[in-house]
Amino acid sequence: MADGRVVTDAREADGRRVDDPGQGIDLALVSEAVRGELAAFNQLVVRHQDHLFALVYRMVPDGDQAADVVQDAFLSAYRNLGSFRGGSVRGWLGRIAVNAAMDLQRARRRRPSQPYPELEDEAWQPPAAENVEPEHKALAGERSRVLAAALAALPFDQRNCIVLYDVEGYDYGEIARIMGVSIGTVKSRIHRGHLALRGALEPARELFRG
Amino acid sequence: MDRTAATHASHDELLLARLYGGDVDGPERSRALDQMASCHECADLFADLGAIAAATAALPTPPRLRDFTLTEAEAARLGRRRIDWSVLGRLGRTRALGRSMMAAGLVGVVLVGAISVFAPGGGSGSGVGLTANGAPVSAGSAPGYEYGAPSPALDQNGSGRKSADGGTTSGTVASTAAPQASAAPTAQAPAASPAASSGALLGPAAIPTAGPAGSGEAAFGPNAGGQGNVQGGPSSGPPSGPTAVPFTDSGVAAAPATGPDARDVTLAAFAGLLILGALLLVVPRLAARRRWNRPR
Repeated sequence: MADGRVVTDAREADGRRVDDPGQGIDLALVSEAVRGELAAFNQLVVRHQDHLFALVYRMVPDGDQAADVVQDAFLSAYRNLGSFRGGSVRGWLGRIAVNAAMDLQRARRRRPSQPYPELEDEAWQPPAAENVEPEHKALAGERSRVLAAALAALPFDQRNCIVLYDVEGYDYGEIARIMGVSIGTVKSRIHRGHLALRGALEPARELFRG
Repeated sequence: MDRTAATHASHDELLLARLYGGDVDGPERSRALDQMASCHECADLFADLGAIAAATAALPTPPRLRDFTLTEAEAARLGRRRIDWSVLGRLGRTRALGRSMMAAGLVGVVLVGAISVFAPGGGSGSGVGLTANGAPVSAGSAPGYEYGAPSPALDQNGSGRKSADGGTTSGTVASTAAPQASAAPTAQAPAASPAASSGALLGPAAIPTAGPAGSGEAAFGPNAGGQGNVQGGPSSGPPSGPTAVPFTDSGVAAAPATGPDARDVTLAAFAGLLILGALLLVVPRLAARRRWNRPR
């Protein structure tokens, strides 16, 4: 795709017209990339890299490892452009990233090492809006810190399901397909994960009330 | 612990989590709502679940550490690899073929093996031997003829000696049985070698001995004794395999067997099928593993 060209008629693989402009642009970029246009693929990367990094970072709460996973996901997507069968490009990339993250988690389970070092790094604080009062800013930072720690302490199966459900907004069936388990298993992981989170955050419950 | 907390301990928290996830209906939903209405702890739990889920969705992430766009060099490398992957993909599709070939080969090997063991009148290694009278005896019909068991042929000669001295390999059986056979002075008709009678155990060593023993002109291997004229006897080489070159009574090497038996050919074909199927299963996996282990 030539830079700056306006995509006017994006279609799904089966020829259906795509109404969502963002999805239409994605599909047009994919079709260009399949024809060998690296620039088109890189535009896809630019459009989705923030989202994928945020998604993977919640599953693999270590910045370097999350970045590696996202890089692997994009490489895998480029390699397998031909296997894209239409639908949401964002969802397709998300599934690739989730699978790459789960591969890493399984590898970590086989070779246990230091738990995510990012959590022990107190230097990084979540950003806050400029017009927020310092007290609220501090509370929000503390809430994010304890929540991230509690989330990272969950078994990764539960954590993945919670991230996909609460953050990504997938429904039970989609999560089951992505993770390759039954819907009942997904529900169980989400419900038990919620309760485990609540239990882990019990000492800091006031941070989440009011 | 106050009364409310004690009551709450008996409440089903998972039910509330399911209620929050929209995963209950009917009587369960009513029970969960009643539980929340009657228990402050349950109501707090439900509210906390909502607050935590909302906070999780709003959890900030640090800025990404790098740009993930691909360079021309990476794309070129991946492009070449994409071609490799198309080959691997085709190989991957042949895994089903590999599995089928392995299954067919395994079944064939087992069937041919079973036929060789149980069916009479087989060829080499088929468990068919000859008695002193030249009558064929298969291994299946001579159940007592095993390691350390009396050799039918020798027993017919009245030697009453054991055919083997407790050896653990077929070669041992063959090599130890032969001198005992030769020690039988009353052997008028050339008794077939014990090795031939136990072809199923002895395998190729039995091939040369399954000659026309019934005619009295049989060729004998080192496993069989004549009247002491056997040259290059059993102690002259390894106990099994190619050393079982047929000898006649006069010590002249007999003509080799006419060629591989049809069952051997079939067996080899099925074994080849089995091996080829295994390769088709293993090679794509090894290639994929190499690809993943390759540094990027």
